[in-house]
Amino acid sequence: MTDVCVASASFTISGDHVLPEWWTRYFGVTPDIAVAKGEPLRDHTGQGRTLVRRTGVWGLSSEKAVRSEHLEPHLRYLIQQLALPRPDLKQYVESIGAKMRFVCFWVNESGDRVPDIPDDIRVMMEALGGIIEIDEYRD
Amino acid sequence: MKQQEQASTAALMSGEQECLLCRVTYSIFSTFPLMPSALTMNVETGEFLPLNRLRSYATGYEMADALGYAWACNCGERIQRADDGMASSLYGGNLCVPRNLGNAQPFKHDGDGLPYVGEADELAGTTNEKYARKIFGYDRSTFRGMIHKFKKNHSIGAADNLEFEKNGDVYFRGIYLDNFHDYRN
Repeated sequence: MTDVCVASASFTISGDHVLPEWWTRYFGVTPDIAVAKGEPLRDHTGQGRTLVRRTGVWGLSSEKAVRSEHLEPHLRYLIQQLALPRPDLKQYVESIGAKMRFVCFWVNESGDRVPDIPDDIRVMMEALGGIIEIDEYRD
Repeated sequence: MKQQEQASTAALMSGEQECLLCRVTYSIFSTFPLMPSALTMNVETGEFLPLNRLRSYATGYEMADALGYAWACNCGERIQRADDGMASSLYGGNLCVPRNLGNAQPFKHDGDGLPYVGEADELAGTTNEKYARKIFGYDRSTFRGMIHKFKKNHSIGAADNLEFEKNGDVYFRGIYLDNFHDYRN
């Protein structure tokens, strides 16, 4: 296995009504991203523009905790950390009109790597009302 | 002004009829409402250019060229002139060259990447990730990690195109997201 990361996964909840602190308390873990819609952003150009975040995102990533060129260990890590599935999660996500996703980073330079998503994880995510998205990079 | 434009077009065509593509393109964009901030896209390169610049061009062919579909131009004399030149230089007079190469233009940029539309001090951007990587100067591994992190942190779908500006600003469907350079690990 190379040192270059070729696979990782993140769990995200995103939407205009996402309150990051609430989700941090709910899951009881330290997130990698926790931002709310409307939070100020730095203006790199020095023009003094008022820039704000487009939408809210709460998320946890496997990238720093798991080293594997396959997706399954990354997804299992997230499931374990977040204690998924949770019986009330779907209701909470839907109540604020948010999106729930496993976002998988997948480098496929050779073009012949097939992303490994176990069926039980697909079924679980579907039951929770979320999606699994493969962000594939071929070059 | 209109007369000047028509005269210019007429001079360019040297009495030949403009093709339907050039005529339609000109009729659309020459009368387009003035919109100083509006951008349009070159369909070949994915780059954006100010709509007002497009509007200022004197011929439909120039507009089609800026929009990236001038290869489909069918203006008789232009094709014949260009084909003759290409054929004689490439094939020694054999006219069996692809017709859509007749309008080939020399590259006007340095290096081997895609050309960037607009001057440095103008608003210009690209949705072409390869070209954005080149102008930002990141290696492939770093860049794809940054793209992934950026999309994830802004809830952008994997298949969605980001719009990169030269200064690193990134937009999605015209809405500012953040500056790309902050996403290097």
